[in-house]
Amino acid sequence: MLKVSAGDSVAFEQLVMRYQDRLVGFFFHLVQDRSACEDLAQETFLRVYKSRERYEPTARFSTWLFRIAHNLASNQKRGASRRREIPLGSPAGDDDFRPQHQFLADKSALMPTRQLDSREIRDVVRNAVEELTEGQRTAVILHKFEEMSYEEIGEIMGLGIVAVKSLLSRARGKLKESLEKFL
Amino acid sequence: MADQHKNPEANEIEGTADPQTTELIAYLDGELPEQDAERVEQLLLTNSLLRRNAESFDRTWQLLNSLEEPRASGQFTQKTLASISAVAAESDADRARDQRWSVKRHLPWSLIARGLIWCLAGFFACATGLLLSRMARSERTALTDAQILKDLDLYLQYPKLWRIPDVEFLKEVSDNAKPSPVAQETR
Repeated sequence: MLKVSAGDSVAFEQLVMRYQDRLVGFFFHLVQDRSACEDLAQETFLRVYKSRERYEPTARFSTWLFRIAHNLASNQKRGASRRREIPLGSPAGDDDFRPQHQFLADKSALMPTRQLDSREIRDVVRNAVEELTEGQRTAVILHKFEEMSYEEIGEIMGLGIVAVKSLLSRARGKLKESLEKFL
Repeated sequence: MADQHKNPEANEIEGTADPQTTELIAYLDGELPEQDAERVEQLLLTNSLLRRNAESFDRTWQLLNSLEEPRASGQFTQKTLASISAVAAESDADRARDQRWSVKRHLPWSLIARGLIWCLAGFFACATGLLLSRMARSERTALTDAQILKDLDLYLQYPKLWRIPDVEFLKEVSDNAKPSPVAQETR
């Protein structure tokens, strides 16, 4: 990153190649939209490029990068919720609507010996993750997939270590509640 | 260090989780100090409910491995670098335009400032010239007035004195030591 700060375009290309999969994965777990997650990852790199001269190597580069990504995702989420006119969730009067994991749970209950296939498990887990709050989801993704410590997560999300502990504890409690029946 | 930039939701988040679960999760995540970790390990050995709870947390955590981890598409790097090049070119053009605007904006001001300086210089030059000429004139006037005052008697007697034909006549009068009627009157 120091080379990038000095205007080295080859170094920037290497940086993009090194972190692109991690960023795309991070955004995908947050927004669950392939095209949107690439746009967000691209925007993150653009922001990194724009602020390259202000970068100070006080923390790990990945922490700085994911802080930018987290801010971008939060802003996008806020923007999307302001634009939304019809509330998401169960439409009034639509009795047929059920979350997918609930549907699968019911199906499993009817067939106790039935084993869920990997695709079904993935859908159930994805739905359980989607039920987490935005903060819980971000903390879970950073910890599980980016293998970040509580301190790094705190730096990225602007929280203290105690708050991160609490956030992850609640998130894992919720996940356990949603997924326990599939174990 | 991270506490320095806490977000406003931090207090709300901190105050709501069950402390025992939080400690157990922190233990599973390897985030507890050694002493606390040993204490939790002792508890896990003796408390079967806690042990089952820990196993359940661990298994649900492992389930997250089933989530797909997408990779960036093949075009991602090139598209990203191309969009950044475009932005860089745009910002260069903006910077160049700003500089031109800045020159344009500053040009009239520099002209105005230069004109103002010349006007002030001209004004001071005129004022100084005027002052000097006035001083010179007043000096001249002062000299003339003094001369007039000095010769005032003579001027007052002028109507009578003009009749004297020449200096020889005055000498003659003086040599005779007899004042002429005109001289007597003058005295």
